[in-house]
Amino acid sequence: MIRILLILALAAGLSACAQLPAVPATPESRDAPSTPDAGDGAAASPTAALLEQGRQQSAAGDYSRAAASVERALRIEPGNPYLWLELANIHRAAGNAAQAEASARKALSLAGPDRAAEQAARQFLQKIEGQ
Amino acid sequence: MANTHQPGPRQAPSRILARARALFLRAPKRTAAAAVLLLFSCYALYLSISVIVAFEGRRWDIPARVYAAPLELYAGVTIGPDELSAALDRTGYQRVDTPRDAGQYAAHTDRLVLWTRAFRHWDSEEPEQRAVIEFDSHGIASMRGEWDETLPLLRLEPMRLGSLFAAHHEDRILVATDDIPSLLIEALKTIEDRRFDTHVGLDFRAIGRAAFVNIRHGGIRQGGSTLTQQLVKSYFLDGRRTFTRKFREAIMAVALELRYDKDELLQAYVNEIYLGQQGSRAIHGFGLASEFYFSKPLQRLDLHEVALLVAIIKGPSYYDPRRHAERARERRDLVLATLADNGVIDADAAEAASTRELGIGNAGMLSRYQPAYMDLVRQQLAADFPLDELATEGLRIFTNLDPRVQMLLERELAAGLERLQPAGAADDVRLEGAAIVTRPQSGEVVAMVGGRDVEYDGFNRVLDASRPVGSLVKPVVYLAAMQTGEYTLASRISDEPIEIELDNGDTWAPQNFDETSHGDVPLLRALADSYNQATVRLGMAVGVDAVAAQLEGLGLARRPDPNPSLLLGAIEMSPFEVAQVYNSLANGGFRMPLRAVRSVVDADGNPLVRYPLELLPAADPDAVQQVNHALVQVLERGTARTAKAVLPRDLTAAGKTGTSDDFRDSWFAGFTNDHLAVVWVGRDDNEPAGLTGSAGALSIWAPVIAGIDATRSFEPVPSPNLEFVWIDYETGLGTYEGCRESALVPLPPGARPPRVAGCGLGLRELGMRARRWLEGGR
Repeated sequence: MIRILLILALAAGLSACAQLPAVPATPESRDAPSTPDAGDGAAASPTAALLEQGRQQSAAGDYSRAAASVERALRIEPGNPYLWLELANIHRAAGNAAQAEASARKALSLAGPDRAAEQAARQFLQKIEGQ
Repeated sequence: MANTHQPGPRQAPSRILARARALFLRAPKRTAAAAVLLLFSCYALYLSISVIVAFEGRRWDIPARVYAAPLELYAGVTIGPDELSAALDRTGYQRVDTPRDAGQYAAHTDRLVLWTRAFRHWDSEEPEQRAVIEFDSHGIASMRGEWDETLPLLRLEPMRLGSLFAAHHEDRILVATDDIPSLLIEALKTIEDRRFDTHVGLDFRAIGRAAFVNIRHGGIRQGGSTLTQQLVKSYFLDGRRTFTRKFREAIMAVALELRYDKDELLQAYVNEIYLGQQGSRAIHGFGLASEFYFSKPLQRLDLHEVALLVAIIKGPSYYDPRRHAERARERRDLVLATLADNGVIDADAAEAASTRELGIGNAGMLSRYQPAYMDLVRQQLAADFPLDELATEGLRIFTNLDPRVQMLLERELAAGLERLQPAGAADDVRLEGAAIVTRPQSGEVVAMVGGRDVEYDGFNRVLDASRPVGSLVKPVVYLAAMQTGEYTLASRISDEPIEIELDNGDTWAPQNFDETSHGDVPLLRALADSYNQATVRLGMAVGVDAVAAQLEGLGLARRPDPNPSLLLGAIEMSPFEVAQVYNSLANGGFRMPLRAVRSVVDADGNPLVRYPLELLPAADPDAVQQVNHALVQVLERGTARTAKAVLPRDLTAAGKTGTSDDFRDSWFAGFTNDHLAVVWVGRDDNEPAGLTGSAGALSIWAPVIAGIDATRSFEPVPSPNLEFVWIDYETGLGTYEGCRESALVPLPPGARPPRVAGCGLGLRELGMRARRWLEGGR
């Protein structure tokens, strides 16, 4: 259940971040045929594309490359809490509890008024503390 | 390695002769002759072994190649067409009218058509990609691929920096036999060694001709050296032209010819021969020379460029095309004419090539060596790779260096120091400086300059110059205070004089910079205006121990002694250490080890090590947010407000000035959302530089930050645990938006100060009058 919530929160966050790019979106990118969505392989948002790539690598157990992909996304959007949460997920899957927790704390500190992000980060922290 | 044997052969001949003479006197002639022959054979064998050892050792000695960070292109990234073109040029792309092959691009006003080369990055290979990039006033507006599909992201091939080479300072880019242009091979043979294909290492006809010339002129003038002999000469780095050396060289050349085939020798020559010098870095081989002089790979050189490289073999210093362009050009044209005479090229081509400029790139970054940054690369890799491996194994190292920021930093530091240098000052009172730029959200070091002379490969002030940091330490004092939960930005603290009894019995009475006390002030103003007395009072209340611990927690790799003078920055730190501490502030209280290297792959591209982003909660993010807010006020209305004239009007930045005793050190550390820069200015002899942090370092910091187009305002996400309240900057009392001296600050709930009516002007007026009265004014 928590996992589903997390995924939902991540998806919500992604569309949010796609709508709030660092630099004002140009008409071209707004009219782009592919929607900037996490599930879309041809996602127009660079961070969404990298996040998707990271998920695939993570699912294949290649945590090092997965983390590298999310780091690339973070270079573009360092203030995006969902990217930090994704990094936390990868660290947890890779068995690196300390980095998982630190990344989730970073996500929490960046959530600000975004309740969904805040909740997702808090739940993640609770879960790893319970382990 | 072979160099260590060098004294041997040099002394040997005289000893051999002495022994031979002794034998000759005592024994019959035949025995003497046999003995001489035996000794000579031993000597020849020894020389042969030495040269083969040298050849084998050098053959696969490939210094680790270092790469800058790759440029990531996507819609929305801040980069204009000119900047992108420049970046492509640095990576060795060719500008054409219509790209017809990978590695080419065409630039138009708002559009760039690009055909990328495939490149194997650390994690995966980026395939060749054709892209049409459209720009608007912000940067890239859209990117489309071959089939007009939207490209979300395009990771370009990273720029090659210098190499990590061993102590002998020889740098080279190894070129495989197949990659050597046939024109170069033909030109080498024609100019340097006509009978290379048939001789046995020595060209007796050439030697005869040279001998004739030499006898006529007395002494040695003409070489007549074969490529093989030149190769031998290069291995043993002996510039003297003596007959003994020539003799040795000849034996060694023959030994190489007997052992290796012509192709192997030619490849070794192309990769070995000395072709230039840059400071302590020796440019060896045509692969690197091509990058060094023309900023492009050997395979892409045009005829006139190949001719120039061949021309300078004879004397890379004498024919240095950067310093002696005319000489170099004359010899290049001579080479072209000779090639035409010998039918290697046709006369028209030679003629056309002779009209071309030398085409020497402005060194640029591609060919440049970044000693300061390389130091950090070495330091970071030292734990995982022995130096030897870095110098020989052909590893590839991917770093975080951002070429655009590196060039900007070099330029601004040099220009700033020039500006700040007192007019007419002697050379030995030269101002020095050091600077580092990081990306605070990831801890990546993107640029470093270790001194005024960028290419000087020695004392690296960023890493090695530890200087008192002065007021740079203050944010740490305030952070320690906020972390207790007992203080907020609106808390008032006395700025009256304070005397502290030290352990040694002395009394310490720090003073404010303006030698004035400012009464009770809010922490916001005490930090932004850098009041010493208030800061010492606050630090003593919190405890020097807590401040020392906070400093360590933020990333200083040692626990400073908790002397009260620590509160005013009586602690020596290097610019790198300052950057580490400030990076944790800029990052909202998370400490990240500053990193130069992202990953290392072996010669075949297999990943060896990755240095991932790592973070450690180092301070309460809410406390950090408050401190950072005061650091924004430093630039808004505090000690660094002069920077506002230089920074873009809509760019919010945070930072702190630092000045050590007697103006010996001038510091500024500050950050935006995406970049943190620390600048130090002072003198190597530690004499007063006569500059405050704002007069010196800030005047370099500001144009650096202003010059990074892609940097965004420092606007941290407001913490839900803090509320934003208008307070009066001078008194800390609650005011209203629109009041002249009010500042919007984040405060913990319950810390809201009581509001005063009418912007609190009456109160301030009263306070000022009272102060004047107290100070014995009117």
